[in-house]
Order: sequence, then structure tokens, then C-alpha cells
Amino acid sequence: MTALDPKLLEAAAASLIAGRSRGAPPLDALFGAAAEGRALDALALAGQARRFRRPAPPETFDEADLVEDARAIVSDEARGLMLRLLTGKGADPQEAPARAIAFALEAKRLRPHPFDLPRLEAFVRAHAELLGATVLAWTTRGEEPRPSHFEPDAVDESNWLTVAPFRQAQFIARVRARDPNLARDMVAAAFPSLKADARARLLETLAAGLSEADEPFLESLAGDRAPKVKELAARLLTALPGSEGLQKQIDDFASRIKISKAGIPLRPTALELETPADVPAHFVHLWAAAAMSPFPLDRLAAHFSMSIDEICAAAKDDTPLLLALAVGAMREKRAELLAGLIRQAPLSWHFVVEQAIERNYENFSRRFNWPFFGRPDFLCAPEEVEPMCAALLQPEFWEMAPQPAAFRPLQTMLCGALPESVARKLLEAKFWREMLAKEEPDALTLTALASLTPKALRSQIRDQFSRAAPGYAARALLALDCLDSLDAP
Amino acid sequence: MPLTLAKIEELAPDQAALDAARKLLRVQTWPLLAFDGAGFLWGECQGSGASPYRVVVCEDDGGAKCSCPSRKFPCKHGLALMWLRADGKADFVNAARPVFVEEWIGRRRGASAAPKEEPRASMAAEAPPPDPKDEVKAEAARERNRQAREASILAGLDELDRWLADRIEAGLAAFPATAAQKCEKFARRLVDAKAGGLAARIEQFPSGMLALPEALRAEFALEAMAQWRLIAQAYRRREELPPLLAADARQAVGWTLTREALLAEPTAPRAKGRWLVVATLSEAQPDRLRRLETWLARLDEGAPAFAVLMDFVPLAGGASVGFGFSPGESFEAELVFHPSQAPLRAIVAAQNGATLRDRSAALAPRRDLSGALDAYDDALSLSPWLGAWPLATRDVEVRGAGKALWLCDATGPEALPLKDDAAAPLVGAGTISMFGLWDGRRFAPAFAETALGRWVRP
Repeated sequence: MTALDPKLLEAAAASLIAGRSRGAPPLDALFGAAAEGRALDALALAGQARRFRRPAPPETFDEADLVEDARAIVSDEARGLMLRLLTGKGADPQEAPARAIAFALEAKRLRPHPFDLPRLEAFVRAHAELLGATVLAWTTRGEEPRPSHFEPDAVDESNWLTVAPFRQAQFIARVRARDPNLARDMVAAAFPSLKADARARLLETLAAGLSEADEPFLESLAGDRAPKVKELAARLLTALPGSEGLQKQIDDFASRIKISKAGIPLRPTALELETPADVPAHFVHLWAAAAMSPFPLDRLAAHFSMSIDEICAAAKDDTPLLLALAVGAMREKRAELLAGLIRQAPLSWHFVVEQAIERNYENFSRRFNWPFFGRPDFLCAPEEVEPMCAALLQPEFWEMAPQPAAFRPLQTMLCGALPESVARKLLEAKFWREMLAKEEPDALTLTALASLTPKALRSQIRDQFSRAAPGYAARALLALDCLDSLDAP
Repeated sequence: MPLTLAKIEELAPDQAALDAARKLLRVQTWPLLAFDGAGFLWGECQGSGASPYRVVVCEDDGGAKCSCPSRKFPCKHGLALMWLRADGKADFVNAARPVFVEEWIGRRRGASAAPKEEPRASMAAEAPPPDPKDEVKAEAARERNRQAREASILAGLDELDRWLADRIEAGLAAFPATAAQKCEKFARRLVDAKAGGLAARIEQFPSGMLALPEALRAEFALEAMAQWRLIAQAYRRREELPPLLAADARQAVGWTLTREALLAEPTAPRAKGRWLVVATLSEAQPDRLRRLETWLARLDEGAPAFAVLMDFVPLAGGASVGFGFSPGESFEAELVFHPSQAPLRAIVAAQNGATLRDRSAALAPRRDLSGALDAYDDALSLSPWLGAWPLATRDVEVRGAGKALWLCDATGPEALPLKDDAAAPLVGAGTISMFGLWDGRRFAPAFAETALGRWVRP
């Protein structure tokens, strides 16, 4: 039929889109003799005909990247509980239950159901490195930095500074593996022209194959204008035995410690740290911990010709120094020393863990996805966890409940639940009994402690919650249900 | 259907409502807890005020009503009452329904609604017989109103023709730039002309158009205007058209059918069968109503194969208003469809038995993608101003092409562009069965059966 000739309808559509001033629709051809005034009918026909067209598929489709993931998918029961716990208003991916779930998934070699990833987006982005290859692929989908059109395909010594920073780092890492000195010299030559992020990225690549030959370059970075570059350089220096730069840092820090002596003969009795005048009062603790971070405790003790126990005893009245020493003890995993220091300031345990573990963890996990690169040495080895925890948590000296956020760095240190003996001590502590007896207990603290409770004590804490004011333990119970479902065989 | 904690979780508008309900689980808070043995529970919950809140719940479909001022639905009291029942720890007394329960049941629609005849009969016994003269007068007034509306609509359609002719004169390529103002203004004129359905289509046109790339907007305008013109022409010639197509035109223009009228309509198609809930969609409309759509796929053989239940609630109620059903549930029911050449919109005339969440009730499309598109073409031929149409297809894959996702026939050449990246987790999931809505340009995936289990659009 002439009226439905596709070519005519196309011509009519083109004319209607362009406007009649640019060409009238072929009404005569469409409607024959009765064409007069039928532009609207032409509109109806041309428009409706287009609705039957089917879309043309693209010439090629992407090849689906099949990710090999040996982890099992969580059970249906756990799926439902995870969605309730980790999504919705107020669900914070960094809160204790979310972290507990992430560590439990890592420990059990489980992964979230792939269909839940969009709803769990915030959670999986925050803990991607603990959730398996599928989740990592999901969170990095479409994000892989692509070389610019103007970048060379092959990177070599002549053009490496013209490519994107991640490719610069890849190239330097390759050169470092082949010729460490050449890589360092290239980085040193390029440093003045690079931005802070790029400098830090390149400096990280020098961690591989570090040698004494790198010392002058690393020492020269003590005056770098970017704190993160300075800090990274100092950390690399500490890895070098007998570094002069390190000795200078020890001398600088020791020069700020005033020693009072008493007795016959005179013995050092009190140490007092004098902080720089430009450090605000509320940053003194942080400054002290950061200033002491590059060197081992024994080197400091040797400087004063004292034992480390004597140093700790003499620092008992100077809280910033005490806490800096505790951070050092935590970093060196000296549980007995730590226990003595913490007893002087029992509620400061979270500061110690935060400085010794959390800051490193955040830097480290972002850069390296540590489950794939091995356990970093700033985390406790499995056999160290219980003594270190017992040294840190001394609830018998707590006059009040810790803030819920205090448990976060602890959770990082544990990478899971508390050791049973320590958890039992907490669940029987006075602060906990008082908290549960309150008319309005702090729900966040209840949830944080529930998330840290080991499997063996979950029935005990459930029992305790059943006696608490209803409602306040709802989220804590949900977290326990979720952890139980992940532990189920 | 016995209430379960899982069902209560689904009904809850958010986690906060569940947490608030948990605080009401103390039996002391409830001076009254009762049930009638026929699926209704009620109770009185002591709040902070002098008088307790009165709560009623229907166990079969999770419907609830409470006298509290909460805008959440169900509110914490309704959820707590269901929870107490599901827990089985509180004692509910078996009692006769009090007046507030009867009143609520009387106002309800759907499967658990009270039979209408009984109250009418009892009222008829008490009320004086209607005056025949008054009835005649009322009927005459209704007829006058109907005729006035018909005349007003026809005048509005003539205006539409002139408005479309002006757009054609200027060329549709220029229209998208000014469409928002022009459509809003003209839609108001059609509202005045009492052609609300057509007015809504025109008012919603700019938002649909702006969601498309600029290059496709003029073409989209051409297709939309073609539909408006077809509706106008069909309405003018409704006496000459087949009755079901005429009914389609009336609905498109804005005539509505009440539930009672639809149930009494002899031409309305009826379908008894087992239905699987495959999607629930909520959309804010320009008329300050939220449209809640529950899409159903028929599990047994028979036509129509799909249905959509529509409810309208005030936008002021917020997005937390819950659906009666959730995807994955299935139920046995008789549906009555609005008369149409391509019946789709329906109401539940009677539900037989409980709503179940049973994994054995799975979407099992009989058509491949090509067959499903053929069915769409058939429906479009029958009802030319069709909007989004349900497609259920087997043996398809979700694949990426650059930044876009496509639904591809696993064995054939057909492929449909997806509306958004909601189905991204299905890339690489292999061959699946999929349900979604096809608007002629983009496919909105809603429900899929895969080797990894069931996928539901988040």
C-alpha cells in the first residue's frame, strides 16, 4: 500500500522534523487525492511507524571480564541480614559492625552475593581489599586510568615523565628491579618538578631494593615541603641500619627531654618533654607520637644510658611522653612494657592503637590491598594478639565506658573479634554492667562491643542484652545474628 | 497467611520503623491484643497521649491501619502488632470485631475487603426508600455533566490539533528547546478541558525527552505527538471503532472507571490464575500523587500474561509508603482488567489463599527476545498509544558495549539498550530469563532468574 511505504514515511518524518519551510511532507504521495490539510495525519503515520523500529545493536560488545574468585557466596540467610545491617539510613561502612562483617568474610573466605553489590556499594568500596576478587573488580569497574591519547604507548627513560603518574610509578618500579641506583637517580632528578602526590608515589617504589646508597637521597627529603613525603622518607630511613639521619632524629627528640635527677648518687627520676612552641596544646600528644615514630625505643634508652623500663618509670608524670612511649611499645609489640604504660592512663588505649596501627593501616590498605600482598608487619602476628590486647584493655581501671569510636582502631588491630579471655573480662567489667543497667544505654557502644565479641561468647552477650532496655540493643543483636550466619557451616 | 518476621521486614518502610517497633514489643504497652480468627488482628497501644492508638492488621496481605499521626506506612504500631503476633509470645484474645475494625474493613479494597452487599442490606433496612423523582433528577444531572464534559473534551482536542499544527509548521527540531514551557502551558488548557489523561501525557513529555541524548529528542517528539494525534482522532471517531479500542481512547483522554464500575463492566477481561510479582515501581506524578505500580506475570498458561496493579497515594506521604506485595511473591487471584485492546491495568477482584514467597514460583518465559518483541509489536498494533510494555524473555544475556549495557539474545541477533546500569551485576552471569519494561527505546530490567539465583532491581 502506497500510504505505508517506509521511504515515504521516512521522508514525511524528516520534513516534519525540519519544518514545513524547509520542505513540505509528501502528502500527495501518502494520501493521494485527499491530501489537502492532512499534515497531522502524516505526523501520526510517520511517528507511529517509527515506533515499530527495533534498535540496531552495536557493532561489537565488550568481552566480559571473567574474574576468578575462589571464595564462596554467602548464604541466603546471611545475605538478608547483611543487607539489613549494612544498608539504609545511618548505615556507616566504617562503623564496628560493618568492619566486623568485612573481617569475618575475609576470615571465612566468603564474598557478598554479586547481585547485592549495588546496594552494598558503600560497604564494598570501604572494605574492597577484604572481600575478594569479584568485589575488587566491581569497585574498580570503569575506573582504571586510561592513558591519554597524547601519551606514548611505550614508556622509556626518554619519555617517562610525560605519562600519567601511575605509569611513571610502574616504570620506575621496573627500573628499580633491574638497576636500583639508576631508578633512585631518575627519581631524584625528577623530584623538584613533581607534585606532592606524584613524589610520594615514586618514593613508595623505592621501598623495594632499599640500600645504604639511598640514604643521602632519603635524608635530603627531611626538608621536603610535603609532610607525607617527609614522613615516608623518614620511614624508609629507619629501615636502613646505622642511618645517620635516624641518629639525628633521635638526638633532636632527646634534646627536647628535660631530665630531673635526684638521690645519692644522682639518678634520673623524671623526664619531661618540651614541645615546640608552635604545636597547639591539643596536638601535643600527636606531635610526640609522630616525633618518636621513626626510631626504636631501645635507641632512645641508649641515648640516655638508661634501660627502657627506667625511661618509662621516669616518664610517668608526662602524659605526652608516656603515650609516645606506649605507641612505641605497641609498635614493637612489647606487651609487658605496654601494660605498665597503659596502667598510667588506662583510657588512652585507643590513642595508642590509633597511632600505632590505624594510621598505617589506612595508608597501607589503600595502596597495596594487603590480603594479596601478605600481612603488614605493623599488625600483630596471631600469637601476639592476645597479650597485646590484654595489655591495652584493662577495664578494671576504667572509670567510664570508652567512646564507641575508640573500638575502631582496636578492630583494625584485631582484624576480627577480641580474644576470648579479653572479651570475657570486658563483659564482666563494672563499666559494662553499669552501661547495661542504664535506662538509656549507648546503642553505639553496645553495637561496637557486640561486633568485637568472639563466637564463643555471643550467647553470653545476647543474654546480657535481653536484660537491657529494649530497642537499644537492636542493632547489636542484628550484628550478632549476621556474624552468626557467616560462622554457620 | 501467618505473619513471619521476614514478611514484616519487607513491609517495614525503613529500618528506623523496625527499630521503633521493637521498642513496642513489651506486652504491657498493649492494653488490648485481639484477633477474630478470620485473618484480622487489632490492638490498642499506649503512646504518650491519654488515649491509646488503635491498630488493625490484616494477616493475609499485611495491610494495616493505625490511628497515630505517623506518615510512615505501616507505622511502628502496625509493625509491632504484626511482630507480637509473629513472635507468638503475646496472648491475643479471640473476640468479635469492634466497630473501628469493621469500619476499616468496610473501607478496604482488595481481597480482604468486606463484602459490600451486607452493609448495604442492613442500611437499606434502616434508611428510607429513595424518592424515584430524586433519582431521575440525579440521573439527568449526571447525563448533563457527562455531555458537558464530552463537549469540553472535543473542544480541547480541536485546540490540540491547532497546537500540533503550529509545532509542525515550526519544525519539531526546534521544539525540544522550548518543550518544557510549551507543554506545561498546554497541559493546563487540556486540564481545563477535562482531558486529564492527555494532559498528563503532555506534561510528562519533557522529562522523558530530557532523559534522552540531544540527537534523539526531535525524533522522540515526533513519536509522542503522533500518539497524541492518534488519541485525539480515535476519541472523535470512538463510535466507529471497536468497543475495546474506543475504551482505550476514553481512558487515554482521561475518563476513569471506579473499582465498582470496573467489576460490573461486562467487557472487562477477567483472568483467574497464579501471579508472580515481578516488579514494584513508584513514581511521583506532576499532580502531586505517587503512582505505585505492582507488575505481575502469570505463572500458568493463559492470557493476559501480564498485569499491572496501580495505586495512587499523596506525595505528601513521602517515599516510605509500602507496597502490598514485593517482588518474588506469588498468589492465586482473579484479576479484572480495564477494557482494552491490549489489557494490562487490572485490579484484584478476589485473592484465593495466601500470598507465598516460594522459590518454585519462578519466571519461566516462553518467548525468546525476538518473540517478545513480536508480542510488543502486536500489542502496539492493537493499542497504538501504548506506553511501557512488559517483556519477559528467556535465553538472554546482559552485555556491555562501552558505557552502555544491552540485553542480548543469547542465540539471535536481537539486542535492546538498557535504561540504566542497574543490571550491571548481571554482566557475565550467563544466559538468564528476564522481565522488564520496554518503552520502544530502552529496556528497564526489573526481575531475572539466573544461575546465581533471582535478581530483583534494587
